[in-house]
Amino acid sequence: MLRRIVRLPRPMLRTLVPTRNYQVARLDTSLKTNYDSLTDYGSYKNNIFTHRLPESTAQQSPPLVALHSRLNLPTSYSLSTLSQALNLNKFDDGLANNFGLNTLGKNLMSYYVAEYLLIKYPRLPMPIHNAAVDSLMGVETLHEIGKSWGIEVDQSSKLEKYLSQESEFLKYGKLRFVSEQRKSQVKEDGVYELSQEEIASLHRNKSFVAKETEAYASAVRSIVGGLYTHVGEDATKAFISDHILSRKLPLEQMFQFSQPTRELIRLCDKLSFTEPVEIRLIAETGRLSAHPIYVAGAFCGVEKLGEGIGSSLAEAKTRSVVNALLSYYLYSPISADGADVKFPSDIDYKFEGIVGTGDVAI
Amino acid sequence: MPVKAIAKTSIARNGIGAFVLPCHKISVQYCNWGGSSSGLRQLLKSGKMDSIASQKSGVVFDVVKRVGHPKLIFHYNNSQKQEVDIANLEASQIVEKLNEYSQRSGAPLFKFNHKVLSNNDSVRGIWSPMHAPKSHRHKI
Repeated sequence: MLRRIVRLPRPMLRTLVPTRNYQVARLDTSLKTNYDSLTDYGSYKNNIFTHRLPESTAQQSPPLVALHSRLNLPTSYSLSTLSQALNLNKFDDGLANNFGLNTLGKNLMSYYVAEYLLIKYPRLPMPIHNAAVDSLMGVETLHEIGKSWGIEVDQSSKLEKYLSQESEFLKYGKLRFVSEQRKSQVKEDGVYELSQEEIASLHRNKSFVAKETEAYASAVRSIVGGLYTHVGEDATKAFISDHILSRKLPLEQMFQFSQPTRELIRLCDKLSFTEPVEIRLIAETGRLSAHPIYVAGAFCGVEKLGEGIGSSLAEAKTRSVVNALLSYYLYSPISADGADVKFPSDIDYKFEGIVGTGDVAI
Repeated sequence: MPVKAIAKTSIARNGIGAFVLPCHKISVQYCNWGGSSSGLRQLLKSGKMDSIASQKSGVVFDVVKRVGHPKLIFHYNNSQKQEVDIANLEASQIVEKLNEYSQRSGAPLFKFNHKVLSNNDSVRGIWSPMHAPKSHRHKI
């Protein structure tokens, strides 16, 4: 192998060394923030002019009223807040956007989702736990939820609205994230031009999130945040468990084991099982049959940890080991009276489940 | 890394927890002149349509005046649109159509010849001949 060592001249080295690759908090200049002194956070004030939609205007928007009713939101949840939750534009019409509500909703959601997963599946390995959180409240899922709530995107420009004599109130009940400038651009069928942020997301983590997907997710989070501001925590908790935690979580399809047998042996070591792990053949149709089928079991002494069926010995063995691992990782505790265990945010909560002992290293 | 995760989105179960009506918008299209719209015109004039709309408070009703046969366009939350021709129908028949289509999920109808359609695995599991005691197994 040929390797060339290039010696850099000294001044060039100096220019290369000081790189800052950590996240630095910066003020959003578009908010026109003023402050007395940099460290006095109480004095921070945004001078960007925004106002809230008057309730009387919001009441005249049919999609907004219908969305409010479709989601069964309480009457104390004002329509103007709901409209604000659907607005992502910062500059277009001077209306308050959903930035704050989004953050609030995201925090509430991640608390309740984490609580649910940690109590319900205390032994989930960390990567699976993270994927499960994404599965319940990731951008894709929230986009799907937003769609299922019947939220529509406001895509017509001011001119198009004027020409079609569309009521100006309609847009207050629609998802507003497309800027007026982008709306007026000529669109070509089947061609989607990426925005700057989308291109950035493409480079950063190689997973493309369309602006619309992110906007829907943000609207769903903001509606949850708005519920908290108007009605409080109990209603928000009920709403999250009704709309997000009620979804089916395909946990058993989310595991990808690289060395399942080794992992099971390490796991049994960690649980200080004295007997060795053995894979035993339970039944077979016969090696010379046209389509042989084997049933293998993973045993620890006399305890059967898992069982698997396969068309070869290796397949049956691997399946039995994977089943044993899954039945350990997907264990879900129940309370003494057989009901589901209570969560820390429930009233008269008493800890009844278990605390996972962490992942095994291979 | 002992175990890697495979990303999956959770599966919606409308009606478990909360139920959100899948039909979110109905466009009611009528013609002010044609005879085929007379039933719909009567429905609109009598105020019956208003009471239906107030009953279905989660659905946006969009009344459009356009030349041609009248129709109802149902917009569902799976981005599907269903057009229903209501030419020459009486008011009561139109109300029936409204009720029928506003309760649909928007998914196309299909023939299903099995007993159960479910996201979940069978509770009892699948019967296996390999787990019967050896004396009871089928011998060739």
